[in-house]
Amino acid sequence: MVGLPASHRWTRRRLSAYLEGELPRRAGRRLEAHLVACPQCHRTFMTLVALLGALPASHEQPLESLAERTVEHLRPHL
Amino acid sequence: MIPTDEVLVGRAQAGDRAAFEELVRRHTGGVYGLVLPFCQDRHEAEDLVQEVFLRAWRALGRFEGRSRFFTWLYRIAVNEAKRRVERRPSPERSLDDEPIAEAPDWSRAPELVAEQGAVREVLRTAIGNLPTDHRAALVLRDLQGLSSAEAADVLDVGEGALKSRLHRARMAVRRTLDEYFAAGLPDRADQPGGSG
Repeated sequence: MVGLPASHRWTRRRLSAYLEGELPRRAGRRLEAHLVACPQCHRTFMTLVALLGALPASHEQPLESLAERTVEHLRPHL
Repeated sequence: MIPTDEVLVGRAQAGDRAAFEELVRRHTGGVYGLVLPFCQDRHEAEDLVQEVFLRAWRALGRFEGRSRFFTWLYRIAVNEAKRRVERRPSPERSLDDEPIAEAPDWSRAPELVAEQGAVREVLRTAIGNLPTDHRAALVLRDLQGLSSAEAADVLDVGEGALKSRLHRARMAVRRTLDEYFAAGLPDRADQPGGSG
């Protein structure tokens, strides 16, 4: 797209760094200007943020008994 | 006072089995969460957890305390998990992280915050389809909540490499959700981004 402050690819490659506050200020401003001007990259950014919010909940806990079963399994080897 | 991991490791290295058993109890959940995305089911993950702790016990004499105990333990877990994946015949995984132009904005989809359901399964499958190095980076950082420095230490790579893998993994999982929401759009009553 002509006239955008940065390319789509340049912007997408830096979204995680931006979210983690690791982009230099000038690059951050360039990225923000692109997100304001480009609905597609803005959607990509918003959905990436949503994904990062949802991921920790997909961390499954084991059955409570697993720790004790593991200890029992190890005892003959300890 | 509750002993730290490092205190328990010292005792275990001196032959105190109960100290090692306490380390097992503390870290079973973390190791399980780490290896599950590399396994075909929960049973395989449980079996792998036991194998990881057995290897850790056998290698404990060589642990010199240069890193935290859990990063050393997680390194064993990741290596064992990757070994299991490599033993299975599977197609070469490519990593597609380009957004899908026609996908809707699903950033406020109610399904995304549900603890169960189709989106959870899509997420698990997407994570399980990542190449192993990218999968490990995402699981350690975004599921287990390690810092980038800790995750890089576990994977024995520089922070730059870790962050690069992590970003590509996130974008690939994000794309899979693009595919899911784009495919389901005509049938969905609760369109994301609609009223809420």
